[in-house]
Amino acid sequence: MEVMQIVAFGLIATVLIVVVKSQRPELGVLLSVAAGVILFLLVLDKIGSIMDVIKELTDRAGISMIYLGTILKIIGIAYIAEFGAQICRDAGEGAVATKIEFAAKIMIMVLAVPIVVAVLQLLLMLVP
Amino acid sequence: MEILRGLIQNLIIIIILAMFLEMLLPAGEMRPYVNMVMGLLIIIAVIQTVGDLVNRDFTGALPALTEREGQVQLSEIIDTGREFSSGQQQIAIAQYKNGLDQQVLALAAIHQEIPVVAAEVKINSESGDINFGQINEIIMIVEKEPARPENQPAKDFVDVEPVAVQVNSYSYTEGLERAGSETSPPRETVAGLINTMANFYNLKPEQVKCVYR
Repeated sequence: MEVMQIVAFGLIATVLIVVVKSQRPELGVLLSVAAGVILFLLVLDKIGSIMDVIKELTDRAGISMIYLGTILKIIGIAYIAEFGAQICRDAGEGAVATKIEFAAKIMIMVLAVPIVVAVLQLLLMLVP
Repeated sequence: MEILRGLIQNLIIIIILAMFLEMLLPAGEMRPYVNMVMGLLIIIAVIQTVGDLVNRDFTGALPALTEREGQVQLSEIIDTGREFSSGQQQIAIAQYKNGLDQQVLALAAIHQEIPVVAAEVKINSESGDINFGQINEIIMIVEKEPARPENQPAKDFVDVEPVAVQVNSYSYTEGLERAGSETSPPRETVAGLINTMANFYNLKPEQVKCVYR
């Protein structure tokens, strides 16, 4: 029943943050970051098994690991950016959150350029 | 039918992989971007699979999206083939050398006066060399007649004490001792054997050696 522990931890962290935020708003942000990191660490070892399944499927489909690595990097960038942007929004800094998301989009596009070029060339080759 | 089966299997795996990856995507503003990149990857994978079916390379000079078994393993197959060929050549050379050793021994047995106990044939074993497999040298190991132990009579004759004949001031016992220690075969016989070997294997006489043990 790990999910119960995780939910319980999340609820306790939420109550603590709400209580602390009313007195010391700056500590509330720090508590929020700490709770997020701890929740991530709790499910970290589960991510390994998911990666194994994805790698096996990729092998069976014959897709190069280079492209899978790119996809996983993009997903990781998206998650980290979402995490950071959400914390910034919670702290009332919506502008910074938008900048973080903008930077993450640029990073994703940079990583996606080889795949976009590949599709472009592929489509041009298909045209008779 | 088998090709079609493989194509459908690949497509099913790609679709399942796409669904699995889509579940991993974060909810929020980032989702459409990641979704777009994943969609592009799936398009390439599907077209690649179809291209394999019709034996056409749609990706051209692009970095390989899919690892085709034939292309990936070609260099490995060539390397393995080279290693295998080299190993087989070494085995063949070793067997050839053993055969030649025995051949030299059998040939040397014709000259019964020379007790050849072992033979070693040196062969050029550098693969790729123009003289690969040619005989470089033949070394025959000749055993000197075993020295008769002291105080032990021979079968056919009885030892006689050395007799010292004193004529003037010269002692003949010194000459007898020298003759007794010289047990190697005569030089002419050895030279005949060397010539025989050299002629038989089309070698120069310098390439055939006799080593006394």
